[in-house]
Amino acid sequence: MEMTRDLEKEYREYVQASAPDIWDRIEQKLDAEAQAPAESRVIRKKVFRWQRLVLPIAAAACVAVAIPALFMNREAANMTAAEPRGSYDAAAGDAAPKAKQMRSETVAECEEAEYDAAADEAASYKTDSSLSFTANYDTEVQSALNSGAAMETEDFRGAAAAGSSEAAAAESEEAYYEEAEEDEEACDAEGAEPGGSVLLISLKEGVSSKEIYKLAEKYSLEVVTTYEGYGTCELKPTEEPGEKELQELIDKLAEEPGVLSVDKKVIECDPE
Amino acid sequence: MSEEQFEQCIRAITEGNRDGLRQIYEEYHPWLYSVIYGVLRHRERAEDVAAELFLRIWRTASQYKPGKGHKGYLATIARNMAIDELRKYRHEVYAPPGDEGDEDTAEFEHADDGPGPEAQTVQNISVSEALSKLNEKERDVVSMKILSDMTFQEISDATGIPMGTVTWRYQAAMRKLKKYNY
Repeated sequence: MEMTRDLEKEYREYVQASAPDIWDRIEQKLDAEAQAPAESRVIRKKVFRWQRLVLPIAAAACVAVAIPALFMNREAANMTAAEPRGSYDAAAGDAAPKAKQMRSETVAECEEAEYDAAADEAASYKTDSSLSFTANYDTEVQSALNSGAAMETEDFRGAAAAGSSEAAAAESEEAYYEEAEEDEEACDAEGAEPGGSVLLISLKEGVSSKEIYKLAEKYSLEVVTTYEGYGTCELKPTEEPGEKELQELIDKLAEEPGVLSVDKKVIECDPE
Repeated sequence: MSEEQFEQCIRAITEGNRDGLRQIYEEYHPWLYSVIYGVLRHRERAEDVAAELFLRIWRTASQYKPGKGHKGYLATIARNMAIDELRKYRHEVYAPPGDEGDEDTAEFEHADDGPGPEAQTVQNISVSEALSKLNEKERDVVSMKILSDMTFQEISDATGIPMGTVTWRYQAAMRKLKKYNY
């Protein structure tokens, strides 16, 4: 579809008028470069830099040391396997339930601390006006709450004392959302790719909507939308496919005669 | 400018003939400047980078490989140089697009021919304001499509973005601009 004449014309005129003429500056620099004395030009000789070999040599030395050490350890392990282990087994048997109990207690403490820390972090967004809603908010907070590995990060160390964390989280969630402008597409709260398995298909010139529907029917797809003027359409499988099935579908669609390209749809959110 | 013409200009440059560079400058400077300014949002630095861009074309003309699309080549160089410049001055705050207090917008020179200064200013601001409603990625695609007449495939090849995403951004930009009667 052709751009409306008005915008194209006005945009070109605007750019033409606003671009400063810098040709004189370019010529001056070209003159300066041309007049640079011959002595100041650096003549580079090819020099073999032996320093480049240091890393490969060090890596080879590490391997040469590590492999024999591994073999020696194996031999030592085989020798100690013959020793009596009764005392070790008894101690290990007693320690196992205690360790399990301590682990579960620790995990419970960690989870509580993670929840508090995540709520405090969310509350801090309320006072920071430069931040705005992103589609990743819910997934980030949820993954922080669920992940045990979060304890290892600095953000979750020194969790704050328990308080009305749920209320704080709800309050900060409200404040964290900015009012979307009418002309902006609101991002889906579920994640950065609300399109899911929606495929964005670019079509060759002349492909009609009838052919698009035939294509959708052939692959059991649902037509989400078509942009005939721009030669694209969005199709979606009627049943949610796995990653592998989706990729196979993309490959098959890409081989269709009227199709230029097939991509997963990604909706971008502008971080303001 | 066609690919053959551009290659002729490059050959002239490699022979030390500045006319080749001048032709490229006349043809593409406004567009490349808009690309650079769109990243930097600072007039003086955009001018510096634009001047350096053409000097780089002059110095590296012999390394240009024909057949891959000269518009994408120029757009890539321009954008990369602008981003490098932006990284140097990242600690400084740039005025966001569409800011009414952006003095760079008000200081644009006006063409000698055409409507008087006031009408020209109003006309430019309306186009400028409309374009400022687009995000940087949408503006890039629109500028490449309109100013340099690149196809979606060429834009995709130049930017490394899948073609579906390129068309999606273009459609999103058109939807936004339609609200301003474009």
